[in-house]
Amino acid sequence: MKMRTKLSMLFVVLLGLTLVLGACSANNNTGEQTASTAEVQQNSGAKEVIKISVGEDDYGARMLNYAAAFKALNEELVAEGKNVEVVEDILPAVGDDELVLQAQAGQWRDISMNSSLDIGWELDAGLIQPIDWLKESEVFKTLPQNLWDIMEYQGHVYGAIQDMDASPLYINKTALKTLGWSDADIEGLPDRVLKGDFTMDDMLNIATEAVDKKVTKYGLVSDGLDNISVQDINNQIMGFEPYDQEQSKVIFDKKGITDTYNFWEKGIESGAITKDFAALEDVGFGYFVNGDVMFFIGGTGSYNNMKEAYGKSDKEFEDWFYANNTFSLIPAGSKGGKPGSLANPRLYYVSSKVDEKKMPYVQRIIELAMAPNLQMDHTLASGKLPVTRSGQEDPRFSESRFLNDVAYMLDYTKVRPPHLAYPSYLQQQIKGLEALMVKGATAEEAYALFEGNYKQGVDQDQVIFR
Amino acid sequence: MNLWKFSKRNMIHFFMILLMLPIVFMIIWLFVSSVYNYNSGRFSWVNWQFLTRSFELEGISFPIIWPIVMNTVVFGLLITVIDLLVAIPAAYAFSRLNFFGKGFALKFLFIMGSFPGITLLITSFFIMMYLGLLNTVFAVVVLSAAGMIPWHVYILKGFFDEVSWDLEFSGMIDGCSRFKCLYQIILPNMLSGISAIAIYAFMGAYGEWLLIKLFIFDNTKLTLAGYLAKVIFTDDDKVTNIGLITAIGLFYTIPIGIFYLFTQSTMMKVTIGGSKGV
Amino acid sequence: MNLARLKKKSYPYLFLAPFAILTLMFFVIPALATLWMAATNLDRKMKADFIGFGNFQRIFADINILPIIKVTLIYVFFSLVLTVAFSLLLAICTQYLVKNKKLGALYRVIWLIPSTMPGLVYVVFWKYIFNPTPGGFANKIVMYFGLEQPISWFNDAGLLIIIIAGVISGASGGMILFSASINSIPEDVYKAARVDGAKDRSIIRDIILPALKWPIMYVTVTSTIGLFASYNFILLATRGGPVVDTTTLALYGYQQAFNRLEYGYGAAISVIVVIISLLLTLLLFRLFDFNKLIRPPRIED
Repeated sequence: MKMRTKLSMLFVVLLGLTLVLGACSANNNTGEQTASTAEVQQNSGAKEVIKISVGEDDYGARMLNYAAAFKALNEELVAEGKNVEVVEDILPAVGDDELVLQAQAGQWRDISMNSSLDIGWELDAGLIQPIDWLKESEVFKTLPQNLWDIMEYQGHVYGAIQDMDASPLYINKTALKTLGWSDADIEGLPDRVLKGDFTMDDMLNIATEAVDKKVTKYGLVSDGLDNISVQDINNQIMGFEPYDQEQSKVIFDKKGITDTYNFWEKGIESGAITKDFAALEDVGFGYFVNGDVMFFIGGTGSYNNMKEAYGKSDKEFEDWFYANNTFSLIPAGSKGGKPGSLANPRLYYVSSKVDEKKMPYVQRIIELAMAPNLQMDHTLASGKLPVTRSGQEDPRFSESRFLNDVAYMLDYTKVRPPHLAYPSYLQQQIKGLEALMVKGATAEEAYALFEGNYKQGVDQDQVIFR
Repeated sequence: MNLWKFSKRNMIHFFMILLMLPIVFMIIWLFVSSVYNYNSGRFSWVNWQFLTRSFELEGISFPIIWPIVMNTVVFGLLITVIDLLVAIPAAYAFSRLNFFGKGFALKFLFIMGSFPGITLLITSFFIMMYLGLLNTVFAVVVLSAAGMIPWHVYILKGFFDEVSWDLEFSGMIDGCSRFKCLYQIILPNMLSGISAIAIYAFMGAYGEWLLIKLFIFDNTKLTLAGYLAKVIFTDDDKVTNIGLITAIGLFYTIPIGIFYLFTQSTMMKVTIGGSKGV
Repeated sequence: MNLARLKKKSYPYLFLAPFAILTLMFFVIPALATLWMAATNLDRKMKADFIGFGNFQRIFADINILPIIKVTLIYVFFSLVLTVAFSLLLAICTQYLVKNKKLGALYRVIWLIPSTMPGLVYVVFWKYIFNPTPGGFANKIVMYFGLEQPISWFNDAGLLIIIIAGVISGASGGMILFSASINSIPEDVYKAARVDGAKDRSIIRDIILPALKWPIMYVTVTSTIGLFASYNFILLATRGGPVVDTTTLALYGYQQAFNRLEYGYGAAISVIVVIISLLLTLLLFRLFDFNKLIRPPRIED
């Protein structure tokens, strides 16, 4: 009797398993079928329909550029007399986790968008393919060389840069005057920064003085702790980028990292930097507009944010901005060093699954989305800069005094290395900073936390510890 | 003196209202945020325009809400039906039949019912991928049902326990089979329990968003909760448009509040383990 | 004859079959697969090499693990005690102390709202209240009373806020179950007690609480496991920071899997979460004498 019970149990289990296996084997075919039919649909002898799926890691104005590119491509195809139609399949806000899982599930995005930082790991995960045709592409002919460097990794072009940024140091002129600076001193400041004559320490001292004398409420504020500006400060303090391009390895430099933590510790102790530095992310630019901040580090987009916070017309804001403020590159870490600027540009990536047949269409979508006027549309919406010279020749670009004035920074602007061991470096570095700012850890403790966390999570072959 | 007496009698109400203040405040805040722009200081219904038309915001088109509401209702009903079809016979077996390993199975049920389903998310994803069911409503329906059913079985078992055995005895004397007894005699006696479970199942489906976010890639198949998670929220911790979020959040919450008001007496039928003096 | 007996013996399994199949496919198999995954180094490359207990060794060597376990225990313990106590309080108030049934029901419905609200919207509210800038609600209050600098609430008291928000949204489930059980106590029992001169306090102690034994067990066990596995609100509210001050084990597992894309390591941490909650559940079963709950059927075949 017990035997029978067991038998029937077994029966149920087997039934279940057959169902599972049956479904699996059935699916393998259907899976491929749906994939191929979705890709290229032969539309009953009429037009060939090609569906191109595009995505973005974030939400924003870039979606419009996609839409415009599809429209333009279809118009071109009609003009060329080709019997082909491209159809868009846009999905915004595809996070890295979803990107990986969806690619596994055969639902990859033909064109995706991510930071320049992501080349390394996306390549490692087999998500993207080289797009060396970009070198021959007409729209990218006027792309400056330093931007080409961003798109290249291990000898190939992997992404098409679609906007660029710089990280200006916004300076409160009014407060400097209150501190006794002459107009000539103030006007000469950006130049001193450029020559490496004005350093990070000088900046911190002024910030401290401003807070001590109650000229401004905050000394140094940025657009967030986990934002590029903090990274920029760290690189300037260290005096080098923690990346060895030749060996393609991240550099974990004890001395340099300790220096950066010492800088932050000093800033907090002197009151130039407040414990709620991270919390000022979404309000800092507003405080700057109110005159409460001595130095603000952000992106070129911060100018747009300030304009919104100011709440008046573009012209009125521009007048106010130039009357009361100025901006420079990020000062060097030590006398005679180089000034810096850092950016976090988004790149178009092409999925490794895109085949030769589809690639020409994908290529044209990317090229059309990079049309100069679309670059400028994006600039107006986001405050980021057009990348190609032809994009900067758009009349709307020269109308903006700020965009013109800030454009020189592009020549000094670097991006973060696209190495696969680097994102984790940033994450853990910020954890150390958080401990220092919020929990009152010393610079040594912050370093120890950074080192411990980084070492235990990274493939140590990818890093030079020194 | 009279006032003192009055306040003593009504102290419990004062107490309850005091406790509820944060929630009432939250609802009011949600509403105000949805129609009032804190930055510009202007009132407008612009965040509620999803009620009447599809619209564009910062380059993203947001669909009109009603097809999504329709999806939500269909999705909820589908889960409810599957839930009941699976849970009722199982609960019956747990309550009234003897089978091998029942004690263990019941404990297992308990553990499953409250098992962190999230830990299974990735492997479920691969299983669904293997079955070719990704991006189908079916996948979300069965996974969501599989997550809820164990504890629904457990609660339904309590209802079966409450139904008098004499009813079933008399049925069997009349020559009913166990199966016939179940649906002709027992089930009609526990309709309140079944409706309570149906309500729970529907509400569970209404709130399901994580599965939809991960398993559905197609924005036309979203439910309200999935819409909120996928279209409105894009970053882990950055809230981009408070007005739109609060408007849709309220739109999401109001129907379920009204639903509760009408169903809460049924929901109250649920008892765990028979409270009548164990 | 045999066929008839087989039929008779097998029908319990027929009743159970749909449930068993569903559970097998979407619970047992994923659970086993998670176990397997925990023994591999599956990552974003989606190639899994078997590494045995390598992930578990890594967990024990992880410099964050001790602080995280500490945070987890504090979070689970206080959330559990407060949730159960608060839902009991709400149930007794709305079901027994408030004599007007309709009002009691209305109070309950209002309390249900936070739990129905999607976490995504719920967290927006809490972030507004405890916004670290002077514009935040709590900061407006403390600064009105003379504080000069705004407080970074989530940095200074993140875990406390998370626990409170969790209790407010989590109490309603227990409240409904408890209210239902109080509701099923016959009026006569109260009447008899009042005739004997019993006050509210002794009625609650001697009649209501004993009747709630099983619901309390149920809520305690499910909440314990649920709390161990929960990370959703924390993820949205603080992302586990500052540093790891609000990171629970489950959140850490999630972050390893979904943020760092180390699925194997994330799965191993989930396995630890499951083992801890299983052990606790078994302990609670023993504490509440679970076997009594399983009554034998009265119709013998």
